[in-house]
Amino acid sequence: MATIYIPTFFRQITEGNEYILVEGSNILESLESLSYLYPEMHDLIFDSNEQILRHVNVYINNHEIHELEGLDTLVNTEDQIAVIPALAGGAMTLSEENNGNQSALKPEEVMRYSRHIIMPQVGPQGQRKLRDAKVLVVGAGGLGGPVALYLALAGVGTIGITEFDVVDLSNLQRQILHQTADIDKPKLKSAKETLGLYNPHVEIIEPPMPLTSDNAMDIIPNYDVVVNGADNFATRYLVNDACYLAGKTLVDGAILLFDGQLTVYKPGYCCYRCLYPDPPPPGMVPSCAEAGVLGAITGIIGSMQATEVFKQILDIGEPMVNRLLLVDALTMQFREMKLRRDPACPLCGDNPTVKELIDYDAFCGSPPIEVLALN
Amino acid sequence: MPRIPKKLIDEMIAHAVDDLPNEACGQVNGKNNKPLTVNRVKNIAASPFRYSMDPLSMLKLEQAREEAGEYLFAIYHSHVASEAYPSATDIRQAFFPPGEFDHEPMFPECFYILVSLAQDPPEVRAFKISQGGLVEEELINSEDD
Repeated sequence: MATIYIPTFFRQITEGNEYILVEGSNILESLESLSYLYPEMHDLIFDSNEQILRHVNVYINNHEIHELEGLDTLVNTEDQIAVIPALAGGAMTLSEENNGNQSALKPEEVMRYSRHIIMPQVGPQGQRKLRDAKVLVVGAGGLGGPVALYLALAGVGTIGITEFDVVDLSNLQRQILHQTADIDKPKLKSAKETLGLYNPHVEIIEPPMPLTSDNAMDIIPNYDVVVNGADNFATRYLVNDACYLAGKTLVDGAILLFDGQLTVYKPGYCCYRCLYPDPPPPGMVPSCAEAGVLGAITGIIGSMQATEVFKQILDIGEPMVNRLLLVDALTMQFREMKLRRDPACPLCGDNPTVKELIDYDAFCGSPPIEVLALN
Repeated sequence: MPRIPKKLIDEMIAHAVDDLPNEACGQVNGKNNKPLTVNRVKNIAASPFRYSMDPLSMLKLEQAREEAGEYLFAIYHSHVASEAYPSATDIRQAFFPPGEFDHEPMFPECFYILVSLAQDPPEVRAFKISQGGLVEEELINSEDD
């Protein structure tokens, strides 16, 4: 027989009683006796193996029972047992902290990313997912700029950028990674410098340029998510096909004039070829260089693409899979269309005819991309 | 809106600084809606990212409170490198068993005070955590009476 002290929190179960007299010759029997009197107490003290829960401490006369004989510790009439729920917390959990120094966020990172970390959907675990993630951004221009920028700011650990162009004066109306002093510099170099100034912790990878049918299957499988910021149809088909064949999710965006589009292609769901089985005849759809584009729309669509990448990495929310968002900046109307995988799709349909990468310049009737010397 | 005298706020900040690089934790006892004393509790986790209050100290503090007719006004702890806002862990641990957001939290009437040393001067903010894991900030009035 012994007395059990019930802390405030458990008194809602013990009808307000502070001290309970229990039967039993040891701790286990005493606690079972308490559970017999107040059945709800049982699951608050014991786990499924009838061991004391990790978040509960049992004391007898001011000694933690594991310092003594544990549940077998003998009790007698004068003994006072106390069952104390742990009061704990902190910036990280035990398992996170014990995951070793390599994976623990450093205090500087915790501070830098605190506005993300404090959100329950991200937390320190999510932040480490971002740090461990590898994202390939195709193009460092209008769309690739804000995408790469927000990924870098958020601490996405590895960002690959494919880009073969040099900075032109006419890019500066919208391409936020490049500044006036960068004119004639390779865009990749300029992008790397800008991103490094924003966040030196992020590694920027420069795959062999440009992305072609010959190298795409060597590059894309190295990444978790791919983002399309390409400005031509040949690259769009190439990236779509390569992502599908490599089993990678592609976050796609497009802009022209005052319009923008956003969707996410995930293997098994609608792909770019389901939506557009064939490229438009050469010259029918003008490029941004030919028709113009509102600079700010690159920020709208690019930021949304970056958001979709975060959702993929963190596995939260509802991705833009099988959904196409159409943005008209003139009316500022956002319309969403439902997409479906096409069973007749030559790539991801039931009887695919495209089983490896093809010659996309020939497919699109476009002149081959001119590779500029970079050094 | 909790009224917490600046003296008590300063005591919590001093504790947070004293226990660097680890998180500091403790309890504020109160009576008649007024906080009276800041009581340091040993952080047995002894970690810069985590705290766990020494259960025996908690037991003794609670028994002393009952004898004095006081109650647990606030639980405080420090974040050494993140802002003064309850982390996901803090919110989980406000419930028993941890993460059982459907229940009432362990101390529904108690303020959760966060002392952040991530900026200079340190920041002290108070929160209520309620059923469902809801976190609401409570503006601290630190003017002395």
